[in-house]
Amino acid sequence: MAGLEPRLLAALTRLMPPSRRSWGQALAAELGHTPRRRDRVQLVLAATRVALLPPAGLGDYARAAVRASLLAVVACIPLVAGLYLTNVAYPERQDNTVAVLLGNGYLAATLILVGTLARRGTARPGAPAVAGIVAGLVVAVIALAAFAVIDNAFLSVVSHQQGKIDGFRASGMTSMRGYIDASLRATAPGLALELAVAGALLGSLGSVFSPRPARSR
Amino acid sequence: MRVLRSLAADPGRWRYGYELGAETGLKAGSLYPILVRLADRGLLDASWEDSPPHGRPARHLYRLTADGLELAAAPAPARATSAGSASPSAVRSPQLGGA
Repeated sequence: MAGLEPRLLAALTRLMPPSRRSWGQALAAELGHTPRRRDRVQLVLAATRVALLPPAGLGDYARAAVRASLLAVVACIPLVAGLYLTNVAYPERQDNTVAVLLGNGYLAATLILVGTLARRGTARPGAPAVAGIVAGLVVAVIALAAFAVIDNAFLSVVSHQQGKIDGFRASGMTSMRGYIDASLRATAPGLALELAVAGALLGSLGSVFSPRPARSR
Repeated sequence: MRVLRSLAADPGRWRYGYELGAETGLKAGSLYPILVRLADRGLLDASWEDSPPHGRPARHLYRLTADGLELAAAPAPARATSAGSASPSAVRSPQLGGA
């Protein structure tokens, strides 16, 4: 374990854009002067944060969009876990209303938070809405991908859902897998549009909760 | 702002990150992203030390640029505006290698 921090720092430095790698090297050099484990972990944390910083020179809107994308990806982890739990681990024939409400509430809170953070990051008036739109689109893409994987990998489980059975019968198709994939393709544009609009509205709403108009350090 | 104030207290001197962390009370995980942002905005110069102790790697040193000093001396509202929305044209990479 003694050599873990240098290895992590080297890996994080490789993840940084070329213009930032000197910072990774600087943090690695600090390791040699940092005997305490707690402080060494802080240097790894610093490298992680530097690797995640939007590149220099991005405009305020682009910076807000990059931050929103990263936050949306992280926020999707429990969302995807929830999709797995409700569709595969604890499947029900009908949609679980509580789970659907919880999922939608979580998503709304995420989009509001994205707007709040965008307002903190820049004074540009449209940044929270732009950040919300980007986060909504990222969530849509990840959710559709998760559904595609779950529906195909666990077809024998999800094919017992009443909604899918009814839809399959009405479709006239001969393959449940074909029906599910066609449904996902048909749903994708509408879901992306819906989440983009929700992102714009909730992101703008989130900007109201920001205590200050722009980061001041 | 603690970082700006700390650097502005002795503007001519190159400072180690560790020293800045101790002065400001910021842990490395918070301090270095701030230093990167300051350098991105052309407010901070970064350089490698010329003669590191034997067997130790050279470390980064930091000091404010003229723009950084100007910002540190500015009233708080002006600082917030300038640091929070620097135009892309004002952004430049850290100055490495040359003290």
